[in-house]
Amino acid sequence: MPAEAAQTEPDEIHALVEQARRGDLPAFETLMRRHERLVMMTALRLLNGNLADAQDAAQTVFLRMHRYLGEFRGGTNFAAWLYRMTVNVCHDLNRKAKNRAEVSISTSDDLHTAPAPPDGAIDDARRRRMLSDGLAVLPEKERAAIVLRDIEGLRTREVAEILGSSEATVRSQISSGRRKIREFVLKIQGRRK
Amino acid sequence: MKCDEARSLAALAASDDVTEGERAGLREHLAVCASCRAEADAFAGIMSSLAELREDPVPPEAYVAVRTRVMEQLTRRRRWWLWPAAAALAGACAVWIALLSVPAPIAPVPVAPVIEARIAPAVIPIPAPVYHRRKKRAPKQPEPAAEPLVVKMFTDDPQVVMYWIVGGRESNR
Repeated sequence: MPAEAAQTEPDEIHALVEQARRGDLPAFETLMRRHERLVMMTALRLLNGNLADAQDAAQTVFLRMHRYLGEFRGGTNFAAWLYRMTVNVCHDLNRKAKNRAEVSISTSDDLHTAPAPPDGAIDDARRRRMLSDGLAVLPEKERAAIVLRDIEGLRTREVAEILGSSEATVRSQISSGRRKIREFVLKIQGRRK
Repeated sequence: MKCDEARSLAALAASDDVTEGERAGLREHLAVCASCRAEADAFAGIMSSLAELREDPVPPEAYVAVRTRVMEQLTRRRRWWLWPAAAALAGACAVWIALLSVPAPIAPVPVAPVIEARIAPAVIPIPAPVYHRRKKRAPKQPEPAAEPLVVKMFTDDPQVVMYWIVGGRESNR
C-alpha cells in the first residue's frame, strides 16, 4: 500500500470496521477483500515467496483480525494495525520453520547454474527471482523493514511504528538490508559470468 | 567520511532517508570516490527492482481460497455458539414448564421440640376377651295365603246372603 493511502484511510473502512465489530459478517468479508492483497503480498515476501505459507498466514491474520476487532482503536490506522498483525504472524511461522532460509538459498543455486543470457543482461523475471532470494537471506527484522519500506512503499516512520522500533533502528535495518541485497546480486552475477 | 559510512548513507539516500547534513557529506565523498559512486548508482537500480516486486501477481484463486476458509471458520464458530445457546434456551423452557406444573409451595410445618424423657417400661394391657352375641334371627314372615278364604253365611231371608272374605292383605276387612 502506498504511503499516502496508508496515511489517509477512507471513512468507509472505519465504518466497515464498526459494522464488523458488531458481528456483521458481510461487512467483515468486505473488509477482508479490501486488505487481502496487503496481507497476502506482505506475508509472501516475509515467508520467502512460499504461496501456501502465505495463504496460511493470511488466514491466521484475518481470523485474528476478526477476534481482535474490538480492541482496534478508531483513531489509529487500520492498515498499519493489519501490517503489524501480519508481521507478527509471519514471525511466528518463521520461528516454527527455521530451515526456510536454507531452502531459499538452495533455490538460488538453481539460478547460478542457469545459463546466462548472451548479452549478460538479466531478464525481468530472473531479476525479480534474484531479489526475492536476496530478501530471503536477510535477517528477519531487516527483511521486514525492506518489505514494508521498499516493496509496500511505507514511510520509514510508519515502518518504525509497525515494527515497534525507533526510526533510527529502522533506518539502520533498511541500509544494512539494501547493502546485503546489493552484495547478493553482485555475487550471483559474478558467478554467472 | 569513510567509504563504509558513505555506502550506508548511499543506501538510504536512494529513498531520501537522509538529512540535509548527511546528504551534503555524502555528496562530498562521492565526488572523490569512484567505487562508492558506482555503489550509489547501483542502489537506485536495486530500489526500482524491489518496487517491481510490488506487482508480483498472486493468482486470484489463492485469495478466494483464503477468503473461503476464513468465512467457513467464522460461520462454523457461529453455529458452534448457536447450539449451546439453543440448548440453554430449551433447558430454561423445561424448567419454567416444570415450575408451572408444581403446586404452590406448602408452608413448612413447625416441628415440635423433641423432649427427651425417660419412659418406664411399658405395661402392655391385655385386652379383655370380647364375646360376640349372636344376633336374633328375624321371625319368619307368614307366607301370604295363596287363595283368600271366603265364608258364605245364610240368613233367614233367602234373598240375603253374607260373604266374609278372610286372607291376604284384605283379611282384616
